[in-house]
Amino acid sequence: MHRIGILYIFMILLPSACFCAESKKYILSGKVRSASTGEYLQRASIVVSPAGTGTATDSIGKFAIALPPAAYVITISHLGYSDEHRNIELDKDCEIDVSLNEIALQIDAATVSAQTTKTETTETGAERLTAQEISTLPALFGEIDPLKAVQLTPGVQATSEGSSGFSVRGGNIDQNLILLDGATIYNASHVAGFFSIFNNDIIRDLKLYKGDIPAMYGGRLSSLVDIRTREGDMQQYAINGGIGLISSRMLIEGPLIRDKLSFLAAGRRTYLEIFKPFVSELKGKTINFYDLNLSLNWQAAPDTRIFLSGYVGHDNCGIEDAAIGYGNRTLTLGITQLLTHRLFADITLTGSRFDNDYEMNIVEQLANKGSWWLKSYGAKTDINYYYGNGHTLTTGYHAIFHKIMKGEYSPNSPISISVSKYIQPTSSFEDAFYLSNELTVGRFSIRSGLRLNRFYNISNGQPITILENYEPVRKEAYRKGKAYHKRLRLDPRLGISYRIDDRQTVKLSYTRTSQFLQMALNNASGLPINTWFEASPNIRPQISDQYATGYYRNIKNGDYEFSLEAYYKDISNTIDFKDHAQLTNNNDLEEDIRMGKGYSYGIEFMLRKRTGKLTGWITYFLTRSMKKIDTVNEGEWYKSIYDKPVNISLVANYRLSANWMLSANWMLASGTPTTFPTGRAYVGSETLPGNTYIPVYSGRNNSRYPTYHRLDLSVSHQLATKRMEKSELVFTLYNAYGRKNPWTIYFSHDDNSTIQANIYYLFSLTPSITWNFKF
Amino acid sequence: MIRISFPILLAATCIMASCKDTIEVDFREGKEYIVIGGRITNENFYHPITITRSTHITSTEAPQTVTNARVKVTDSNGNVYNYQHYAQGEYESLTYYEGEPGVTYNMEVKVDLDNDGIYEIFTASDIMRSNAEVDRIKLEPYKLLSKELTMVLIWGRLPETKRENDPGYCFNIIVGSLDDYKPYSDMMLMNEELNDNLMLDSLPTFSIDLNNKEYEDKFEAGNLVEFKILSPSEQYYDFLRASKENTTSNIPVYGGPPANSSTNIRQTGGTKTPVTGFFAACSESKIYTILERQSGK
Repeated sequence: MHRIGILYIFMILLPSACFCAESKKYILSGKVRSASTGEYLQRASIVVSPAGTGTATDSIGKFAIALPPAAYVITISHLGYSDEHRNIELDKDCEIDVSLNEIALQIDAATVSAQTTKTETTETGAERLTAQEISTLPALFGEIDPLKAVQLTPGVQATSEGSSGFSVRGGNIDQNLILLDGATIYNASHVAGFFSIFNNDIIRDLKLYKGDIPAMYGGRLSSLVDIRTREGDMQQYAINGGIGLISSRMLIEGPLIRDKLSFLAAGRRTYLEIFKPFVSELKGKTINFYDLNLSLNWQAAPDTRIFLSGYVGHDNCGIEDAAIGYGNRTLTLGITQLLTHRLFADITLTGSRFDNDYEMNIVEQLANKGSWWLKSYGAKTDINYYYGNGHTLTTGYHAIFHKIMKGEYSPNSPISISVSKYIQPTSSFEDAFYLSNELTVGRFSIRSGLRLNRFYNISNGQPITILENYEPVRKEAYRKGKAYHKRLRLDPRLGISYRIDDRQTVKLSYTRTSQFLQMALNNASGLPINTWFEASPNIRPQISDQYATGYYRNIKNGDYEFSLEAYYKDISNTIDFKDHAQLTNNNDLEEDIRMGKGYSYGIEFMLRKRTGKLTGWITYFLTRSMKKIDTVNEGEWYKSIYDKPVNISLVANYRLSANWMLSANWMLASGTPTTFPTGRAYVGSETLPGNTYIPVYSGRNNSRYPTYHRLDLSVSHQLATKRMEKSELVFTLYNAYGRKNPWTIYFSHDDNSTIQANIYYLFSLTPSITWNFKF
Repeated sequence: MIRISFPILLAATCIMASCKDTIEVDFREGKEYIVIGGRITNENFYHPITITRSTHITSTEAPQTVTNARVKVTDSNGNVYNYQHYAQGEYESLTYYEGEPGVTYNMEVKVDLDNDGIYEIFTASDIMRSNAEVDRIKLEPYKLLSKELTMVLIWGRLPETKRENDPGYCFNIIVGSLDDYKPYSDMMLMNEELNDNLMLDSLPTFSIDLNNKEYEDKFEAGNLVEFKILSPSEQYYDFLRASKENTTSNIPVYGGPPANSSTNIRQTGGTKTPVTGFFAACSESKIYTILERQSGK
């Protein structure tokens, strides 16, 4: 494996060496920021005429391009901003700082056109959404949800009705790496999955990688959702927010030191409680959540930026004397240092924690409480070297320490017979070195990368159980803190893009990803009851090899964008659970886990209209996803719950006038594979107290739920106001035609012993109204 | 420890926010199983064993019975109990016998299912654990979410256990009148350790809604309430847990994909035939009371 690694590194670096040997070129580099807020703009488009080449800004608004000495016109553009043109006489390395002016909202949407399209990027399977795009989509209870927007892109399925959980290209929901300013989010849901934890007001950019994941990221098999928050306005103070039926939100931002130090604080809170006196169903019950985001952005020196970002969110649900709570906390400290105009470094420190707790006092004799949590601390260094002209060498190191406490329980009253129980926390350490290179040669762009992952289990001082054939055979003890088990995985990545002409691109990619941390996931909803667990001597890391290809075309000068992608994923050590596994509060969870192999394949089609009064997209995708695990389904192949041959989504925004906008999205998907009984067996009430029959099953996931479809509508109206920068009313109809999409199906027998299928569905037609404002 | 768990509470929260309806679903055809069920207890009884065939899930017909089997039970003390067919696939021992804690019971069923002259042979074994003591039972009203419910409290003692893997206990309640027997029966499993001295002191077990229309003809003043504590073996406990999940679980919180209840019945001869059910040796303790009040009437 070492030889292959060295060969691969050589292959990555070779094009760089060749490139360096080319004729003399100068570097044009710079930064692009918003003139109104001073925030740096990611993915701004840089087009060089007459060279006919270009590039885009990176995550911190920087770009660099190598050009022969000549006179050029540089056009810088970004969605929502006016284009900027610069004349440059390039006879030496040159750096420019560009500020783009924001287009006023009242301007006809037809003028909003510039954005990097898929024909210009090198990745396959990447989707990018801006906060502006997300905010136009109709939302449940008016709560704009970035993860629900992600679910409308090709290859991404919602896992259940109303859930923020999602599956990418047939992968499990725990195979998505969700990063908020670089900090891992372990459960991105509020209110049992109905909403995500991301307040759209604070989002600067959301990028989804469905497979062609850059080498600087790892640790999950299926996807990366990279969410970057806004930095705060460097120029002036601003307040914006929204007041909705069940929740409100507010954001304050502004300069602490003009052009030097900005802050952004945002909060969101539900208030269903105020309806308690009027709605009998709410009496004695509690359902609420809150979010707080805070960030500081300090331009410490012209070439040094320091960024601090934090998030705290918590949910509370309860019925009378019982309550549950869960929440996330993250903290990110980032330092970006421009060392030369070709070289810059990022250092990021992160902390992330997910907590669950409950209290159960309904019956005093049984009163008990419990909690469990997961926390991680990470450090990451990225060094980027721009050769220019779209040629970048990136290397870095990422280390992360995980600690998981799977349960602590104790009595919650003096007379309670509940006993205390404490499952010792487990620790692990994961680190990775990576190297990647992006190079453009003629019409070809090549991205190659290598990520060397290491994973260590660290002893908590308790003996560990070694399993053979899923049965315990012996115990091994190690001193506390000792790294007792190590895994090493090498993940190569390769992407090749060929630009047929200005309008068309084809791409190929190969991506290997490894996953060392996963969830004991026994449901497809976003319920926060899933336990995370690590790879170990008994649990091998999951590995995915994904091969993808795509064809991308801009039509009518980029008014329309068409993409067609296909992929095949081969998965080793895929995880499932034995029949009737006990996945919560289980000291011996590893004995219930089963491993095998799996594969997924699919095609994804998307047609997007980017400009004009009518914008939006239509997607169709097919996902086949199968598993084969020795002791499950009698060792035969079976469908995963994400195997869905038909998935269609339609998103449309129509601007009626400067003040009125209509939005709609409609989605249709094959029913989720599920296991329905095929027979009934009489065992008698002596054998089975309380019953006489048991259901008989023939194969796992042998049936499907009914087809899922839903239409959401919204109308937004800009109110005329002189005091406010923005005042907008948004009316939303979620599930406009009241489709009863099952959240779950269960069976009962009537008095004649006829079986009856019952569904629980969560939302029929759900109207809401929200007032959004900005001062 | 008995705990109304976090997932159940969360499920209750979700259910609060959901609506219920019925739908039509397509049930596929599946394999036909031979179904064997029986339980030896510590009572002096004929301990019936039933042998039937599974039916399609939508069938409302009584199961097809198997009447030509040779059934016997042996124990680790060397006793042999022969069975004969009584009625409707039910086989009874020729003589009453009483199960004994600590003894292993083995069942053998020989049957020519296809009338091809070849006997299919099915075997199973289970060990009987010591029984619990139940001293007192009390039905006590209480309120939950403005609903009037009746809590079943028990007093008693669980047996000392010697094995690490004794998994728990099964509580079974049966309510019904003696003359017009329309029993309500329910089961609850308790899979964790109790307090150290194993005493059951006013332990709440079942929560019954006497006003539930579904049960209104089953809960009448004067009805007999029979309460049992069963001490299942580990494998029998697994069967009970899986069967309870399959028959009563309607929220996808625990429920990974449903699957056949685990069985201890193995085919050791003849043409390969799918088999399910369970043969258990399980001691039980009983107590009775009279249903005195019927709330809401």
